[in-house]
Amino acid sequence: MSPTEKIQAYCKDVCGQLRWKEARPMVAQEICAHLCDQRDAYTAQGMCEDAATQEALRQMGDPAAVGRQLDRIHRPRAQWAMLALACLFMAIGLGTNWLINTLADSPVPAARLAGAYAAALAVLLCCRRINFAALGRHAIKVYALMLCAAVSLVLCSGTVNGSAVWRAGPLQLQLACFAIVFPLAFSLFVYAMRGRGRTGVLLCAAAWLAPAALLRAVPAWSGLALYTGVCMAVFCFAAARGWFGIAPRRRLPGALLPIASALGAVSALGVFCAVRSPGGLRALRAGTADMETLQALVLQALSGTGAPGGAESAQLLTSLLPYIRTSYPLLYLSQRFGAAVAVLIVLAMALFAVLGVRKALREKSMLGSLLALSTALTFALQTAFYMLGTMRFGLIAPLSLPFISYGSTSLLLNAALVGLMLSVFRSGEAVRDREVRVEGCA
Amino acid sequence: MSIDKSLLSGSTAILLLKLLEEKDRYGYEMIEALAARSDHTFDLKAGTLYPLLHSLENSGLVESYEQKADFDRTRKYYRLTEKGRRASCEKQREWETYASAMNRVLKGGAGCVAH
Repeated sequence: MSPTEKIQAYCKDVCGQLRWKEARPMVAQEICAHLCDQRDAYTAQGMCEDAATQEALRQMGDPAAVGRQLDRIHRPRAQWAMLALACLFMAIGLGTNWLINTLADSPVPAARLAGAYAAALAVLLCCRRINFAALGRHAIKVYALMLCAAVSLVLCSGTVNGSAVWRAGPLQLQLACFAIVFPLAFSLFVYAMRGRGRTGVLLCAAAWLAPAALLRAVPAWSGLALYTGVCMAVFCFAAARGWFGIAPRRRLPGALLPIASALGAVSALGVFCAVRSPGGLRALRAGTADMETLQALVLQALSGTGAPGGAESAQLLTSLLPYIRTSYPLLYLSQRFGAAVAVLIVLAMALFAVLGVRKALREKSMLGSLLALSTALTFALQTAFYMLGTMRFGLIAPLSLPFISYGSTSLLLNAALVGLMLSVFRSGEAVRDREVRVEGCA
Repeated sequence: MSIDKSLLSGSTAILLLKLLEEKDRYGYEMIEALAARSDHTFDLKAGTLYPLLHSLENSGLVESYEQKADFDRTRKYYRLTEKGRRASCEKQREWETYASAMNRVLKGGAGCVAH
């Protein structure tokens, strides 16, 4: 066996003791580098290569013993607390929607509801075990694939209640929920643009634009706002960390230009649509009279003063009842069990979002940070928009409350994203970013 | 003179943290620096070093990054975090208190502290 082969065999024996396979490449690389350094030092002292290698291996110690010590340290981090919280939200969503379905004239069959939540749990657990590093190796391809799939679905979609819906037999997808996955695609694109300086920054701005245009076509103002908010945060994060390879004093201007452009584009589009459409502003608020009555009901229910009186209000509420319960589960829970329940749920979701963002910021790899951050912020903004919309402070109708609002599309997509985020936290330690040749700092 | 391993086992972490206080280092460099500074009293084995380094990293006292070395070899460097810097100062104070007490007892005579 040649000296190099002996070193590789030793590293293999060490890593054979590591039960967590994802950690093996990183450990092997470090041990191998050390053995090569030590061998080179002995060679410089006059030893022949074979003897130098043998001495370096002897100094390292018994490979099985070294491997066992490393095995005790390198374990996947299960993230039980966050997994438990996600399962709790699903249980609350299932329970709430189940209660809603016990009423007459319910729009959702109970079996279908249970099936949707079971599928979501399966998706979450599967995504938790995937190797997210594979997404980084094919970042641009994944972005392009998601965009092409979205375009195809939009072209083949129909319209239901003003929103684009794609149908294939019993399967139905609400295309407004693209807003939940587009930030992930954008974060992969940002990862692919690392080290590319100003060119990368401008390409990121272009990468934001295409999905934004699709979301506008769907249409989904809330989705567009969610997508833009998360993309801006992810972009600023990458720029602040210097991942585009831009000199520190130029990072802020370099980041501000695309952000200002994105904000300007979204605002201009919003104003244009509002001015052009006769009921534009009203449409943005999803119907002023109905929304205001609904929000009054929410406030009164949460303050414990009961439902608003008057025959006209009662009639309006009756006509809205099926949609109140399925679209506003927190309102239903407040009415049925008291405001404290709704507050606790919101606090738990806020805790989940804060934990997610905090862990994302601490991830060692760029890929892990970007993926986890985009997912955590998507979860946080969905929840925030939902609460603002429910409490009369929102300017736009909310998209969904993750895991709790009824809607198979948003449920499954949120489950996949949270599973992916947990996968990052679970095995992020063992992932290393692929090197990119920096094309000169700007 | 070889030192009893039980004396070393609790203090190796302090030694590594102190080395990293000065500058970022990779594993082999730490072993060499330790041996040189201690006149080969501390000849740390690599099989002991890496589990300890990885454990310190898991605890958040150090963090690692990779850098290209010569001949297309990538080296993993370690640096002290803020938490590690505070822990290093704390451990050095503990050691000084411990060593001072040990010296007073071992030297004996009027300087002994009565208990």
